[in-house]
Amino acid sequence: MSERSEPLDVEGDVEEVYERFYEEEMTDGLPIIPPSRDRVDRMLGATDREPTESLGEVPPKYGAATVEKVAVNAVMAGCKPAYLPVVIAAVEAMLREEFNLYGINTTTHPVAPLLVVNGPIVEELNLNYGYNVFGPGWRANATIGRALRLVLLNVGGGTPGKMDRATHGQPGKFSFCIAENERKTPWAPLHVERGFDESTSTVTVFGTEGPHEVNDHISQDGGGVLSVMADVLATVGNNNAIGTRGELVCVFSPEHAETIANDGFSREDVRWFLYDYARNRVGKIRDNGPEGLYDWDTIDIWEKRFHTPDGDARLPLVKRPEDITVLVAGGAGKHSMVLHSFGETTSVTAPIER
Amino acid sequence: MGKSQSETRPGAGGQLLDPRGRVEVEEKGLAPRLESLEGTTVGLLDNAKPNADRFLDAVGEMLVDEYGVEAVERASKHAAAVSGGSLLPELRAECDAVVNAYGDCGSCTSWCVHDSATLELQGVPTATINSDEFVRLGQSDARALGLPGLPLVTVPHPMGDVSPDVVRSRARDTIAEIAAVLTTSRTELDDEYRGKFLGENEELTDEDLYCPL
Repeated sequence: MSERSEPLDVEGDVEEVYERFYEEEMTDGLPIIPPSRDRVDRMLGATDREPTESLGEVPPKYGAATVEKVAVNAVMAGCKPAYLPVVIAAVEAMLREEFNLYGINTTTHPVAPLLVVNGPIVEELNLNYGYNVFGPGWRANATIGRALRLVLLNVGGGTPGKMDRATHGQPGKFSFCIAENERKTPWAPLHVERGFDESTSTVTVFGTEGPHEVNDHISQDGGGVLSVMADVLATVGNNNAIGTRGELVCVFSPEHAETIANDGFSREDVRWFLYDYARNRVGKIRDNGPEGLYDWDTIDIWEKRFHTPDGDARLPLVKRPEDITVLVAGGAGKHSMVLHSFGETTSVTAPIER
Repeated sequence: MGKSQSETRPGAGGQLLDPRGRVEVEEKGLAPRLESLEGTTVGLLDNAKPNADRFLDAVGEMLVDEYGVEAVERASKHAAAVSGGSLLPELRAECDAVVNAYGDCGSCTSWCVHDSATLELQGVPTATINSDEFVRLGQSDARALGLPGLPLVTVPHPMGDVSPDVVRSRARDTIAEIAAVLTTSRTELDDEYRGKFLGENEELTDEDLYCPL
């Protein structure tokens, strides 16, 4: 069991505190709410868990993520106490071995943990699942995502340019948290799809790039919209093309989802369609690098997928259709979003305990 | 005039708490080194980065031809940004020492160093190859894992897009250091490597933000 958080030798008004925290690399660059004992205690009031309980050690420095440390960072991010259980669940999910946080928090790749929140807590916390869902304007989305980043920076030591070696990073590394538009989805919500009861609230973490636009104002049927999406997905310069554990996150706008569902597509059909049509030509992948990346004799059949003499053979971006997550979020409009994976990570869904 | 601005600005709200995670690193020792490479089996751990295979082919040949190594055993990771997993106990069972190539990016450096640390802690002396651009990250990783003196053998960055001849000449340039890392006493190695790329109390600094290429 760990001890309580240490007091800091920092005093002054909010601007002086911001300056000191910035100089000592304890921020993401933006102003913070000073994490005073009172504020942290109020934050901790939102959970029954012991402040000293450790959720695990956050790589690459392997600092202990005690419940209190998570609360300190949540205060700094501007979270309301009611948000804390979401942040705690997200930290626990990220620390699962299959998520590969050690790779994600140090890599040159522009990956960030994307949080997707489902269940009754979405309405309770006023999390945005509509217009501008990946954008600014909603305190819950902005500060929950930011708290997670501050945990990665402060508890994990994933400081940009030091142990976080992302070549460029991406804007989602400030905050990357959406909710699913469960009112508008024609399919079961993500948490139900993953075996949770509808009344349970969950957070799912994905290791992804930034979202990429799928504009289709033309198609009147499911196959049309999905063909455009497949075309956006099937490029060779992403880690799905070469990774061994890539997933895809497809965020359909309500309008696109409706067009697709009205055409009789189930979620399973959507996955199969994208699995079948979002493919790269083997020759194109070979010409663009990955040949020579693997020792063909020792790896399983999925990694041997480039090893066909037929350069025109087409390879899917994921190993199995179920590695494609189908979500609905966003407001009105004929745009959807797709997110490619870090390639060596498996998404994790965790229940939010309150 | 009224109060000065600083008096009217809101205070921080009392005693502030440290947001940084407590890091408890227990310093551990390197694996005992070999008396000599003569007659040994050396594992070659290939992390799937381009040219790691060619580099290890050349290193293996030189170890056999010039250092009396009896056999080399190849193990290949299916991807660079993941743990060596079950390959590590296999290497431990079959080899007297390991050469692990190589870290030249963020996640592959970290996992490369992580694999080497795992092998060292299980008693397998290991030479870890790191590109010079990422070696300070490698040393930070090694320090965070309790092995600040993990011997990191550097090659120029980048490694992936150079010709087979250049790969071979880099193996030639580093072979003596690789051999030394596997056979020099761990006390000497620890002295040599623990502050080699990052000073004892030095953290990575802003200069590491700028790629010198």
